[in-house]
Amino acid sequence: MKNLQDYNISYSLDENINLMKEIFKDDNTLKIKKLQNQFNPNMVCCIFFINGMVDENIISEYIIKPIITNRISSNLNQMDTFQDQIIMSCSSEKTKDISKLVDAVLMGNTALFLECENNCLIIKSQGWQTRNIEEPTVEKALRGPREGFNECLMVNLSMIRRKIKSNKLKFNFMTIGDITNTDICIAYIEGLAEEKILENLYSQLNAIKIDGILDVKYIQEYIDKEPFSIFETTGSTEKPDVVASKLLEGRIAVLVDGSPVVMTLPYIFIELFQSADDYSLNYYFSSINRILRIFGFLSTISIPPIYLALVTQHQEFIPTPLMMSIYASRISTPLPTILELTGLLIVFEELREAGARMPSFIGQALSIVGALVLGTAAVDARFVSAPIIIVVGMSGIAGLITPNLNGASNVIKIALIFLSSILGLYGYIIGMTFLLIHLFKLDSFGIPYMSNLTTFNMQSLKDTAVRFPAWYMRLRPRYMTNNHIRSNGGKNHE
Amino acid sequence: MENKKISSSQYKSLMVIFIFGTSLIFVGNIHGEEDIWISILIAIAMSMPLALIYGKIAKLFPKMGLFDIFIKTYGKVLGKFFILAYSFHFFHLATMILRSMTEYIQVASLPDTSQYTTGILIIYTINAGLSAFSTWAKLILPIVILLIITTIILGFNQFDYSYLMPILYNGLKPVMVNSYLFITFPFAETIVFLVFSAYADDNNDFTKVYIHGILIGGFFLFINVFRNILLLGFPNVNNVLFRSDFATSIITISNFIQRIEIIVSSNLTLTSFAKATTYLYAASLGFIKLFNIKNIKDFSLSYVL
Amino acid sequence: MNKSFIFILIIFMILSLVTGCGSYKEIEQLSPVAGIAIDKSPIGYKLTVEIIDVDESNKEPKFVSLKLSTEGKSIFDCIRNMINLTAKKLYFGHTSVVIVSKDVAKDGIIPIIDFIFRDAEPRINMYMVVSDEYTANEILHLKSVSTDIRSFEIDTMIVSNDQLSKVPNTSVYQLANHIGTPGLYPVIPTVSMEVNEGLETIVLSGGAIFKQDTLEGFLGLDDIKCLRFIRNEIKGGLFIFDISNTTISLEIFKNKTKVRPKIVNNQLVMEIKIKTIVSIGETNGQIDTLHENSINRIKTIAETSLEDDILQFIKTIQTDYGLDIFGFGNIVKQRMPDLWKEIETNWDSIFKELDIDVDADIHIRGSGNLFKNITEKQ
Repeated sequence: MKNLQDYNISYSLDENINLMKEIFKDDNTLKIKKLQNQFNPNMVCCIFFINGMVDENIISEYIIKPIITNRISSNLNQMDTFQDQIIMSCSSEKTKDISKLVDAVLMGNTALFLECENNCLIIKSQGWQTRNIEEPTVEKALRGPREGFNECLMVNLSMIRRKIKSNKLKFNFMTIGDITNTDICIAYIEGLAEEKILENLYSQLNAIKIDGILDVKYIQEYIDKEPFSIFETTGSTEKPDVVASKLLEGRIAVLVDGSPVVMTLPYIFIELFQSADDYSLNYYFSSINRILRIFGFLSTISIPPIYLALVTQHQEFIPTPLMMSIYASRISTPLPTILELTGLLIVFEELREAGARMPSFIGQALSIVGALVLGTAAVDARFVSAPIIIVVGMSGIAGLITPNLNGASNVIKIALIFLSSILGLYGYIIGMTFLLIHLFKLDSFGIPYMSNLTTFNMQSLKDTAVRFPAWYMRLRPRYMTNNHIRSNGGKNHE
Repeated sequence: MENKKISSSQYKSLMVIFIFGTSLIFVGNIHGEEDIWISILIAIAMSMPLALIYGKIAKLFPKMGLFDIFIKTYGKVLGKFFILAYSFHFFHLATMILRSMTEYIQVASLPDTSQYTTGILIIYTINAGLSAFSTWAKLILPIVILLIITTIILGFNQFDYSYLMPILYNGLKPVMVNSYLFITFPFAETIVFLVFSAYADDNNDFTKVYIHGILIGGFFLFINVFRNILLLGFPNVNNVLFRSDFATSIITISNFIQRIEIIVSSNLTLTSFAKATTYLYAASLGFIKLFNIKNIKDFSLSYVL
Repeated sequence: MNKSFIFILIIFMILSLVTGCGSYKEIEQLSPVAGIAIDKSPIGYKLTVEIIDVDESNKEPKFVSLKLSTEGKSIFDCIRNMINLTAKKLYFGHTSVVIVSKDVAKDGIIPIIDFIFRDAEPRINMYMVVSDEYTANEILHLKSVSTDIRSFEIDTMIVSNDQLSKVPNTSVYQLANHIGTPGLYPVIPTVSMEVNEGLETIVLSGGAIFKQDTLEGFLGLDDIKCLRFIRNEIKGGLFIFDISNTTISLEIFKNKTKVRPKIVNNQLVMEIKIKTIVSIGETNGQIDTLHENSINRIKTIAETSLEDDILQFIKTIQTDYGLDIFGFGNIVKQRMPDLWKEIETNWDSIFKELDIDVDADIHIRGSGNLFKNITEKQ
């Protein structure tokens, strides 16, 4: 097979048609239409486009109609005349580069060839069906903006632009993927985003060699500095208001065409516990929610290992009445506690996964089956002990509070269970220390992952475990940008 | 290993945790009698000059660790000898702490060893770098202190103040001997932090770090000993091996909160891990200086096992 | 990074193989021991344990108590011999009481305390009680009235006896302190059997005096109250006395006793100052509880009666036992360390001759809900 570079556009229209046919061999979506001006029969041209990628209205109304109905006299720079006077399109470009031509056609543009011209005109005619703008299902907001990104890059960019109407907001395009040629866009606000981080990001993006990018996750995994860490050092969201607020804090967003998920970076640990509607709800309420989420994360990873350690190694720490009831329920159950625990955790995760994949009406039935059949019946039949159900249930529900951390918390949970089955509570403590040291070691584009969590400075703590009112957050996060001042004065409290 | 700067508050927390170290539980295993709490107070007061000296050394040689200072002041050969001596000393102490921690865990509840796990944890921490470690210390210190305070609040009802009397029954001499022991261990041992002084950020006043660290650490040690005496009483305090452990184990509140020595155990695990790591870190820095190894990561692995 | 990751992984695998499940013990494979009874036997000790067991015949599990006993040369030997009897490991983490028979107590209780301290499992704040007439085994076999588990009942009884202050509340770690403290002899609770409403049940019957670790004698319930008055351990209870055919019960709210050594005429005198806040709990006669005069009369009579009781009690102890169970010696050590150094060696003989000065101050706070006495029709 010949390389695209080996082809050349010739002066003959027929040859060009053959050329296109050869390039798009066996691809029946390529439409070729020859046109002839009704006043000037010598004026022959041909348009190529890919069926389904184009808005047919645009092609027939603004490309075909002018070519056929206008009075066109043959002259020398026919192509320029076409570009400037005939084609009614906001964006058209002349090119001789065949690979550029092919790319353009593949993206839904229309290519126009003229007889006796060795170049072609690319006319923008993209138009395809996209999903409507809906509320993302994973990031539901109680209050505040509800729109979410869809799969079309330009629509997504427009949503961000609508929120930040400033010429400081920059969108930079690049293409990644040898085969997919996916458009990605790097968005940032000039003056807020750190130059160093931006440079770093560009160099990392340029280094990516992959055949295709289908989702932003591909990029995230490529640029993750600690590839084996269970924590992600880049954030992802589907909500334009979240992206806008992160941009305003000096972060950088990366959008990928075809994915409704937008990556933001740098990303720090506490962002895992933030939610979009925190900023739309009363700040006492959202502070309580934040604390609940952190507590939920801690309890989901801690409850099972601590229970295991207490029941199998440190029975003396359990208060006597509680110890007796655990003892009574454990008696004559066949499985050792550790198997009971891990088994039920797996069952719980299976139920969760099944519930997420099922259509919603079956999902409801499933949860009833899970709760009743597997829970109550298993206890009644003395398959498992009752406290285990409570422990697994508590851990599971606490885990659902922070869906962002679900993967990480499952891994941590299993590791901690393993450690505490060997070493009891000491194992748990050692495991937690491991976790903490790991978290402190991580950084996201030079920003420590645990930024703002160990200082007792009010201005730094304002948006961590608690959310302070908007007028208090006068400074941008110190770790993120050198341009601190967010608002001067505002309300003169404090 | 990244050369991230370490702020003075991180140093302070690390030092307090370091002072807690094994002392929280082994405190007064030296033959202290009734007046051991006085010994601690004296020791705190007496280690202030030490703190000033250490602080001065750090100030005289800015941006230099202890090992660099050795080479600068004693020349290459003698300096290297000192480095070797100190590194071995630190290494020895680290293993000793690990040893006693495992011993405690074994006696207290678990027959089998956790040495290897802790060892791995230490390697991992050294690889993670001093910055991560000291930030961790800063996060963990309030928790440790909170736990100590919790035991005191919970045990408040069971305090028996008569155990404090009579003061200085056996005369001043044993008290002074004990306070001397306290000065050497753990207060004077804070010299290990001079090794890390090279990583200090710019507005770091080591004298202040030392004084604050020793004061806070000493204060809580003192409170800890005080609690043990008030709860356990004499001669129990002198008979049992792990005082804090026993003392907290008798705290009972309405039959529901009982056997809370796990609080002490977790404190011990955390702080002695920190202490051992500090020593090992210092030792590996020393060995690196000696043998001109570039990467601390390759080196730290060779320890511990 | 990759290399060290694999390294850690390997270590973990080795670790899991090496350590296995070293101390992993399932809770249901343990036999939680609620209480221990220790008797003498020809070869050494006879140990009876009360195990918490679960009756599984019903759907709702019911706790039952199960007793096992073995003999052995030492306490630990007895416990090890239990392995012959039961498949499960005895577990002492929740043991709340040790019953020691009179004979064992006479031989010394140090081995028992030693076991409790040395082993990691038992709690050092459990109670040790002495059974006076019956063997410890018999006590443990008595039927429980309020709970399923006999031993927990004894534990609760001793704790709630603080409202009565008729039994010493001395747990094992305090006992160990008392044994080791010069100038203080320990007193621990005693238990006995009583037939109540046709039911053979256990009663707390006072305290047992120890000389160091050997049993010397028993004290009654009211003696213990006096002891607790002197030791400043009164947390509640009643003080009952008579005024001319009228019995008055005072309910004690708060008590503070201060014991101070004094030198009077070159002679050591213990000065006991008792400050008690009471209210009138019950009268059975025509005593006016409203007027100040009458209350003052009650107060003076109560004070003298309390002083008499305590003096009487101290005298009995001084003459009958000659053991300083009040901790006077310890107080001398605390207050006058220099004097104590001189007299420490012959404190026992000094104690027998010790002069005591008791001064009670009873403050009557109120008369309960009654304004006047309930009277019959005139």
